[in-house]
Amino acid sequence: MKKISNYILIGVFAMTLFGCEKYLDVNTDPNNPQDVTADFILPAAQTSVAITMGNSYFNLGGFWSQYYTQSPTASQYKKMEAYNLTTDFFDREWSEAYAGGLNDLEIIRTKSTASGDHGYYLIATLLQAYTFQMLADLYDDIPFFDALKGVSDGTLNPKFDNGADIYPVLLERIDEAMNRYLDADDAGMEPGDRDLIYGGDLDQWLSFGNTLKLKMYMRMSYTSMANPTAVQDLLTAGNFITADAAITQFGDESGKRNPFYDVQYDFLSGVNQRASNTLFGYLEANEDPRLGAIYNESSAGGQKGHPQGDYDNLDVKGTDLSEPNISATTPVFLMTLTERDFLIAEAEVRYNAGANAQAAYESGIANSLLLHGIAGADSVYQAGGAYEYAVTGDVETDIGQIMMQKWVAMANVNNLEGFFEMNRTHYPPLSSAPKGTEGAVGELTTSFASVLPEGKTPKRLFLPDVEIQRNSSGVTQVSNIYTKVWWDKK
Amino acid sequence: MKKLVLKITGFLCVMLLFTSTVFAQSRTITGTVVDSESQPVIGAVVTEMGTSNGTVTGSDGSFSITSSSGDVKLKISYVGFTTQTINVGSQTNLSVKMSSDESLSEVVVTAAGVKRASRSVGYALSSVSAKEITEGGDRSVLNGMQGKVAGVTINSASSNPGASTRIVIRGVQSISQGNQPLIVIDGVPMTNSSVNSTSLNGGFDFGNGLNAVNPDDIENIQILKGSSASALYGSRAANGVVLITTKKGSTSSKGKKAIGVDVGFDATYSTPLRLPNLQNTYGQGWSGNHWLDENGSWGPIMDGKKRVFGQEVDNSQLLAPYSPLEDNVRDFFELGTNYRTHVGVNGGGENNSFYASYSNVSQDGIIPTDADQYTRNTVAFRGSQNFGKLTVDGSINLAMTNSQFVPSGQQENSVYRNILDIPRNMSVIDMANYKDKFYNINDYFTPYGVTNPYWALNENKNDFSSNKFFGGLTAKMDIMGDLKGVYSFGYDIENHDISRYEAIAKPVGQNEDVKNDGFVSEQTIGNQQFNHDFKLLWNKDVNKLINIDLIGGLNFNERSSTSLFSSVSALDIAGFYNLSNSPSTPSVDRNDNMRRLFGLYGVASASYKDYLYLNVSARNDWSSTLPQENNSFFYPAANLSFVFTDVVSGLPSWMGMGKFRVGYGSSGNDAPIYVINSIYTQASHSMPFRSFSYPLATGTNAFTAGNRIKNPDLQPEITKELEIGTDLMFFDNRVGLEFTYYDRVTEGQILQVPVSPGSGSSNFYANAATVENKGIELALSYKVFRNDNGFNWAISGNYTRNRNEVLDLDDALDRVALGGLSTTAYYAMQGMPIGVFEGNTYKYSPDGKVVVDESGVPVVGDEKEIYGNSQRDYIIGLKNSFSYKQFSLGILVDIRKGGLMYSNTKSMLSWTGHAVTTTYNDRKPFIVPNSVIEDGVDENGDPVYVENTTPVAPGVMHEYHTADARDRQFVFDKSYTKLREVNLTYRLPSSMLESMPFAGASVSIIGRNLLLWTPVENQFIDPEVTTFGNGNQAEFGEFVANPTARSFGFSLKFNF
Repeated sequence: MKKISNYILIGVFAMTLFGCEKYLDVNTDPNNPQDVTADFILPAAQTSVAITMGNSYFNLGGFWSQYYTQSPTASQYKKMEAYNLTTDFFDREWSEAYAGGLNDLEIIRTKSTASGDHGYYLIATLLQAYTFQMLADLYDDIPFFDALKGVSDGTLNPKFDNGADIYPVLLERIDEAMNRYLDADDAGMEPGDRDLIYGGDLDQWLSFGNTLKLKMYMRMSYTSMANPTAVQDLLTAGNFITADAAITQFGDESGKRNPFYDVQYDFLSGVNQRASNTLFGYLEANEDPRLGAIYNESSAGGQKGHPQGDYDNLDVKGTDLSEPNISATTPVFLMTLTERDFLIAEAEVRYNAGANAQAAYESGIANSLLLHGIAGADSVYQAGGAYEYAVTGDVETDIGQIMMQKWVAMANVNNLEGFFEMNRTHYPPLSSAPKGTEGAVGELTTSFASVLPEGKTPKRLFLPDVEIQRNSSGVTQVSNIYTKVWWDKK
Repeated sequence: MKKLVLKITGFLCVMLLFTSTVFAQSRTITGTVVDSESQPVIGAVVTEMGTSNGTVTGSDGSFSITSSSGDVKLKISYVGFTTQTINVGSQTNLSVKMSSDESLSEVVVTAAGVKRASRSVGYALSSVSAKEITEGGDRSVLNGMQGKVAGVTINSASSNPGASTRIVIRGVQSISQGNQPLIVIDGVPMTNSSVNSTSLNGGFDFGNGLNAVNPDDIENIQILKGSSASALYGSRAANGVVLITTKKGSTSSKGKKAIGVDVGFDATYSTPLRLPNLQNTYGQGWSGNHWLDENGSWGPIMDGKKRVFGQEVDNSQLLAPYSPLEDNVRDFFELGTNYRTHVGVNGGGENNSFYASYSNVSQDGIIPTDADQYTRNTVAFRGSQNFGKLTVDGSINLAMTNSQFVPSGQQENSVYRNILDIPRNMSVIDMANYKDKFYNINDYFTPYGVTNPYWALNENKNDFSSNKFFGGLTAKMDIMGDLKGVYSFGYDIENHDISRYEAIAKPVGQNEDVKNDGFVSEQTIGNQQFNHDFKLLWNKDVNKLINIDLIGGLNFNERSSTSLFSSVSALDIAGFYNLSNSPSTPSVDRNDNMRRLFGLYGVASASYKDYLYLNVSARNDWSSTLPQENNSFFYPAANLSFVFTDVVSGLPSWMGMGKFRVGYGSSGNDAPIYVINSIYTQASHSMPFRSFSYPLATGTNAFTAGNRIKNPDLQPEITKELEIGTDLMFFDNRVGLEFTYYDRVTEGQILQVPVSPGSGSSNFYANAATVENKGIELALSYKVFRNDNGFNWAISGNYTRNRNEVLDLDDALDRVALGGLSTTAYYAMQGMPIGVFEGNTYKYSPDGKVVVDESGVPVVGDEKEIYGNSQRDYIIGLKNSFSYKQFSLGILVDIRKGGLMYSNTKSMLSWTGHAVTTTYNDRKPFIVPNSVIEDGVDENGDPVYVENTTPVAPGVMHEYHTADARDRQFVFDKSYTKLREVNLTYRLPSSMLESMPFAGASVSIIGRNLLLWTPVENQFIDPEVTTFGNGNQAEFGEFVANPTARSFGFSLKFNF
């Protein structure tokens, strides 16, 4: 009897063990997919980039390009105005950029390489290059060669690389992706509407690649890496974008709006950003029709700007000052026709003796007006207009004219790009007036609230805490934000 | 699995070895010893009187004793029962029923549901009786245990009826996973998760699973604190086990049916226990001025003269004396009511028994309206039937709960926060008519992010309705000889429905920023748990002195849950609350999960005579949440009990029983569900304050790579614990002392380890921390007077001291945030106890002086300061029990010393100038002592400091009281002493009962949480409250939490 009972026991145990592995195989998350194809990732990657560039960095660019200033009756962005940022200020955006958009784009690049979907590869590579460039311009040193490899090869502490080392590789990647697409017999899956930016129009993406290259070459124009030949080739080919690269798919619902609007206007009730006298005064002096498009009238009525950084002046109420005009459905622009035109104009002046500069300049202003929905105002750049292009033949003078207009054109469109170009070309120039005094019309004002040493303005951001605290590759925090980035040589 | 097969083979070999022992033939007397409920008594000592012959009963209560004598007298003794002497005569098979000895009721339920004599157990035992659980009249079983058990910390989260209660045994050991013990009811694990939780922005706490248990259904609660006691319950017992034994019917002899009926009714009433101490000198205003739109009392000294207040409406304005309304906050609250009714019926025949009960709890808390009410109906049925060799027990419990919860916190719909923002000269209760022209949301006096509390209270609603079914089925079978088989099945099925809405509020005019587009959500949550246990029990007397007891078992446990949440964040038609009433796309979230555990366990117990007991157990678990290669974990445990007073001779006469015990055990814990793999998620992008979420407004959906790196090397957490202790009885059981020291280390804690975003990911789960808890537990009882018919006085007390330390933290984790705020952070840090507070402090000049700004207010320093931690120094529960004839009186005091907590109530009241602390220096200008101000820089660019001569002026007094540099003031000592329970009972004497239909009746006056003492720095809140849920974060503190309540009333009990 005892033997029988032992056999029963063994039997029960054996049966149990046999089924054990299967019984326990229930740890696959049913609430989230384990894998998805590139077409389901692409829109997320595109909006991730747009949400990062079109929100906090857009806001930063707004203050630092002197389009906006902090309202005296609110306080959220005093630290931006004072150039007194803490090192954790952009942790969220950095994480979203790397662990969001850039990583998703890297996954698309890997997946589309394996599947032969060269259109997807092209879009992902170009958008990733675009994002890396913006980050490199903002931080000077960023993880690049080792970046985005946490999942694929376990690199958890990517070393930091300088923008000067990154740019050439980005240019190579752009060329490689464009050639791969052009050389392929079968481009694979059609992105179609999954491409939120160009609706799957891959010819536009090829043009985007060329325009991005032009933008990068112009950024290098004051460095030893300037490459006139490459720029001349691009100008000769002339294959640049013919439509704005933008995310337009916003609707007026929480979490689905233009991100700047959702946060600044819907959540924070629009109490912080007000028209800076620097841009406002320039537009006003030139009777620029865009003034009413870039700024909304104040809630008290009428248009009024405020000195840059003068938030301690409590005599002025925020309700009396003009506000940036961004709506729930305003697109997030990554690259615009007006930007393209000013890049061409600058390139023509620099490397082509100004051949087609005027046409490009005028087209740039025309496209800027169009973007703001303004018709019939072409006289501003025509003969006798405030912005009439005077061909002087002096490179510096001509570039000055172009860059002033580019600065205006980037307002509310790509604020951060406005900031980069301002640092690169020194247009508008910084007023020599001491802190607390406004610059002349067309000059930048030293922010009244600046905590930086005299004559210094911000040129970059601190490296985010979220990265340097977790990354043991030996990176150290930069000592200040007024040290120039690598291409800032003028 | 190969390893396991070897283990099993070994296990079987051991069994075979012991079965082969053979006895000499002689007269054999067999028998079974059962208790009054016919449950086997294990470990009872059976001795043949006049000889040294003896044995102890086995796991089924049976014994077998061989005697050569003809006239055998057996003495059967067992701690907790009256010793019996039996003349065996010619009988060879005895059935012995033992009755419990009240003074020594120390039968304990140990792991695997086996009853044993406490003397045989080698670890600290704590039990709470039915009487103790119910005597305070609280609806919650856990609340009824507060202050009564050494080593156990119980906190009720809030006074909201139906809110959850947190219980932690022997300290917090897990940094990221739960620290709640496993709840086992009659051998079946129960789901005890909380439904939702509170947060600084409000939130809802609809209680935990154990709230569904009617305290009157409980016979006894045992707490298995250490790993050596709880290991058999598997990985889920890593935080200890609360073993609940419910009331059963009792079988009665010879076909006579006996029915017993218990009826109880309690009515208690509650009032706020602790409200903040507010100043009554300064009235509405700011910076010393009397401004009518301020939600603060920084105005002038109230002079009692009539002044207008509020907004001008229809060219009129309210008028009232500018004088303090000392009780304007207290007046808001109402008398809470709490009614409990219980009916229980028990009975049984020769082979069966049953118990059935119904209970109702109906509670309406201290906040006006029924926005804080709780209703619970429970029905329980348990039955047992014996079919010869087979006994079947079954139980069905149903609990139906309905409750409403008043959210607190910082949000605009927080009723309490809105109340605390009302100036000291303004009446709160006058605002009850929130549609009145002066008090409606358009014309409410202040636009600063607050609104009429009565609007928030009446116009927003939440409703929680829940059904919980739980119970089990157990079949016990005598397989052959000494071998028994037990199969038990347990189930626990919960269904919760939560509906919420917030009204549309679109004020115009000055209050336009206090807007709400309206909100509706519907949520259903289902939790299921199924548990199967197969056990084989085998018991054998090896010889007269040695008894061997073996248990082997298999356990399957499956827990699954589903939840469906849907909400719309804007409404169209006012007053119509339905998901369809919205222009916005509903947000829908469905979540399913399932985890399984398979365990194999064995226990071997051996006793030598009745004074040396060795208990060895081992369990191996396989969990679905761990990587398949590492999903097996083994943990052994052993304990030894030595009743030295039975062996050591020459002890003094006052020395009664003395036992020394030592136990070592380990237990394991698996990983959170679904964390080991990488996934994709529906895309959502992080933004400040908001997130950008898919699908897009244009209908496009997308997925993004989840930011978690998979970790196939994840190992289970392992806890190892050593405990030693002694249980002593002196002076004829008049004084009892139990002492335990334990040292518990949890290694390989599973934590989310952040990684550099540059890697493209954000985190992975890893074994990343080691935490130690060590401490002592002391339980003392002293019967000061002991007279059966006279005055009795007994003191019982318990003392707990736990020391917690994070021994090791992965290099990638500088610290682990446990919640907290951006200003005052709350961390686990290496080398410190869990729950470190870190926050702002003063900026100091190089010579150590406080730096102030131009207005004389201290400037915040760049470096943060560690304030301390939230761990208690010690906890004492002290109960005095008196009885005289028919009267008895019990008084329980609960003392908790040490530990810090954060109080946002203080912070908020400091900002509004309502806190009594804001009258510092009579609000006259003062210079911060020993302060300096920055005055340019020296040649090295370093700041130069000069003595500060600027006093803090009335205009910036509020800035001084809330200066970031002074954030330390909002983290204070959370020590308290509470008069936890008072119970005065009168039992009707039997002489009176003769003329009445009942067998017993009593009437009691009861009170709970009657008085509270706190250190002087805490003028604001009951430190027991938390706003931060049920996890580790709960110890952080409170964020404008609703006040707790005291309750008092009466209780009637009858039995028939």
